[in-house]
Amino acid sequence: MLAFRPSLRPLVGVTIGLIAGFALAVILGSISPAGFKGMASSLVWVYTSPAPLIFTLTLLGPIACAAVGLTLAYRARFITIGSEGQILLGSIVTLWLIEYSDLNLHPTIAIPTSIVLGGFTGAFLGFVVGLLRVYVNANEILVSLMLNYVILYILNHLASGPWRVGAFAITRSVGEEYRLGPLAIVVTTVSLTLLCWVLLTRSKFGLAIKVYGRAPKVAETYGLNSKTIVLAVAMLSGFTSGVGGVLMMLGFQHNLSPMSVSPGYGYMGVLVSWLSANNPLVALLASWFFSSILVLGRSLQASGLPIGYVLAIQSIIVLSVMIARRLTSR
Amino acid sequence: MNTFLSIRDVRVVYPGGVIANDDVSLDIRRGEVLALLGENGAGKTTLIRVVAGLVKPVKGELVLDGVRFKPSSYRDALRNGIYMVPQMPQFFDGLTVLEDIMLTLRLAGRSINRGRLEARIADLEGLLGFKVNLSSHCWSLSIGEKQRVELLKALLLDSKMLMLDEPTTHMTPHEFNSFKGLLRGLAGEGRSVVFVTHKVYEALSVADRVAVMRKGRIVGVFQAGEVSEDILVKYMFGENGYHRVFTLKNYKEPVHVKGEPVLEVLDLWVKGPYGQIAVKGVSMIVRKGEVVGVAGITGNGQRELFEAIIGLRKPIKGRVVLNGEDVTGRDPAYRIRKGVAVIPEERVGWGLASGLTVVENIAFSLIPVNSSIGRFIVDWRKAREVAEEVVAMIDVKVHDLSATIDSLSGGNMQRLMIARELYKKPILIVAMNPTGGLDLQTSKIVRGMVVGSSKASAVLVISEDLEELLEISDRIYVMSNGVVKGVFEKPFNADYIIRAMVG
Repeated sequence: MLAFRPSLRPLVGVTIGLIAGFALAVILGSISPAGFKGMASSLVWVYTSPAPLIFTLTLLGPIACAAVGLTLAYRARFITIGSEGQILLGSIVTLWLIEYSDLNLHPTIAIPTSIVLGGFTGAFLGFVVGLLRVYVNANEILVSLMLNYVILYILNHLASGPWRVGAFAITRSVGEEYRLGPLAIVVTTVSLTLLCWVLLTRSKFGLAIKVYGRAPKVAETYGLNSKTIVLAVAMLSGFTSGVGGVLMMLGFQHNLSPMSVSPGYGYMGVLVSWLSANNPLVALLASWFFSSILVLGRSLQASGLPIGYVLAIQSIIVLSVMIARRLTSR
Repeated sequence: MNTFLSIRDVRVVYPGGVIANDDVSLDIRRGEVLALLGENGAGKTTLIRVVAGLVKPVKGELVLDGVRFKPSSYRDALRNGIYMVPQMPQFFDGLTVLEDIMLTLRLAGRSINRGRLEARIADLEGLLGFKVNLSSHCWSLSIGEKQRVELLKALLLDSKMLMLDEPTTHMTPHEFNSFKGLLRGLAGEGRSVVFVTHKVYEALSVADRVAVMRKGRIVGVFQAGEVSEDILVKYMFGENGYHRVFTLKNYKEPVHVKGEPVLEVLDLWVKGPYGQIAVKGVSMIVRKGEVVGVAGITGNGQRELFEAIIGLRKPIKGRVVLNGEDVTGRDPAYRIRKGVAVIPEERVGWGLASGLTVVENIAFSLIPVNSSIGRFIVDWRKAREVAEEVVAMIDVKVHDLSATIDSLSGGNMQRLMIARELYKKPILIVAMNPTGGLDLQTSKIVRGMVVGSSKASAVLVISEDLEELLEISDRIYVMSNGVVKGVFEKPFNADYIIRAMVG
């Protein structure tokens, strides 16, 4: 029925998703002729002007870091959605290290330290989820979702209690000298992507992941340790998501408050990973696409479109890509 | 005689241009058993799938009872009194057997009262001569048990025509005899029975007529009483193939020297999937240079024994000793490193990972043995070389090593899997039903591979195919109800073995 070349399927899905999203906006009455004009000019602006292009690369950090780690987990059929909590935790420990600890580290030390610290705390969260799955067979989707809430409420508590400054529930901001520019974010993100890609396609561990994900019984029978595989992908995806949190804090968030925090970069990572068919390189590209849609959404808010609409568009795109994949895979 | 279903000029072309049925015409009569005979890939299964509404022909038509019949789905076929039992019956794993039966009845449009259904099943069980545990979950059934439930369903639906795809793969000769009687009885009641098989003697002993298929065509239809085995084999394979099969017959070299014991199983007790005790105090020895067979009817503890020997299932008592070392508490990886090769019952999903390439499917099995393909990073060039060597061990053309394993036929997958295991130069080979579902020729080749490997290794074959074990084994253990009922040395007396199997 849909006789597209396999490589074109995602693009077809994306196009259908965009059309469907646009139709949704028209149906909901959010787009008047004037609004449509504004939308078109925003679209051109987002993909041509330097400012939004740079902002896209900045926002890319947490989405891509989460997504590339998740490709490993999903290849092993470990369906965690804990990236959201891991990102938040990564940003919390970063803020703690730089602003709320008494260490007063120099930026050249503080930044790498926070990346390592954020990564390992994310990995720890993943480890907890993996452990529960391996030893008490707890469903990783539920456990990781619950943990996301735990971290979210810890954040709310910190921002409105011990770390609060002034009248509003908002923390101190990291100093200018600690902040990361787009280049540092892109370098970190690309390194993590390459790491995941090498692990998946070049390493013995990656092969074991694929075998276990496709046929757990085959893995067990031929001596590939399923517990090790699950724990490792849980921790690796936690690590990259944690680093994503560090990039979020040092790249553009700079402080924490219950109101301003993450519109769900971790969940976007989940979507992106599915969108990319769990290929880290494609996931990087798809993250950039999602990130640009976010930037587009922010500029569209000026012409009266709510940010929720942008998130809806992202979900519709993923849905249509998955449907396109299903329809063409037989 | 009166025709129930008439197949006219049916042509089926699969994606990729393979012609599975090439203008096939065949009449199926009321009250007859018709054997559809042919080797794997001859198009038998495709033909009955057309009748069952599962495959749409590009050309041709079906005439049912004089009326044109175009089944658009399996449900259509069911409602018209046609029942197909596939070679690997599909069940809803999460349901109990009774629930699964009720679901099928509902699909066929029958209203059902649970109590009456159970009573009816009990009647049929008496008639069929086997019992089915209605409250067990479908996932726990063996293939043989699933086939029995399928028969039960067909009778519950009072189907007018039964099509059975290789139903005897998992039967003992004794079971086959009663099964034969059952099919004859069904035909006697005026039903039509289509019996798909690749075994010539089965076709001749059950059927009224034998239709032989080769390469998608019907090459001959014979009255069973008027044709010899020899002629049927010639029709099945064509002249050239015929010679190949019969020169392969004497490949076995007798092994007289008994080597060191490689595998010792000592008073092994193993629990099954429900927590029932499936293996009760089994002991056996397999020496280097011999093929040891484990015979028994499906579901008598063989699977649990197999899993305990390869390390997938922890025994509750007893020991597994490999080359003098107690490996009872060790995981599969350790045993593989020590030289155990595993050939499981199901190719896809247990022996090979679907969706991965041929190279990947060979490379992963080398990870625990820690060999040449790299320490942490896989040397894919080396892995490819290994894959080429493995493929070269078997006489199979694999055009593209980067294609997924699913592109190979069942027989080629099996040979590839066995070659992969033999490549590791194991000291012990543990195989379960290594020729299940393969045709005559491929089975011969696979048996040849297994027997050939016994020069350097100890070989344990757990099989439901007694004839196969009689042919390849040096010694046969018979399992029944989790216990070793007898140990038989050559020359075998099949009657005694069968008595032990059912005893």
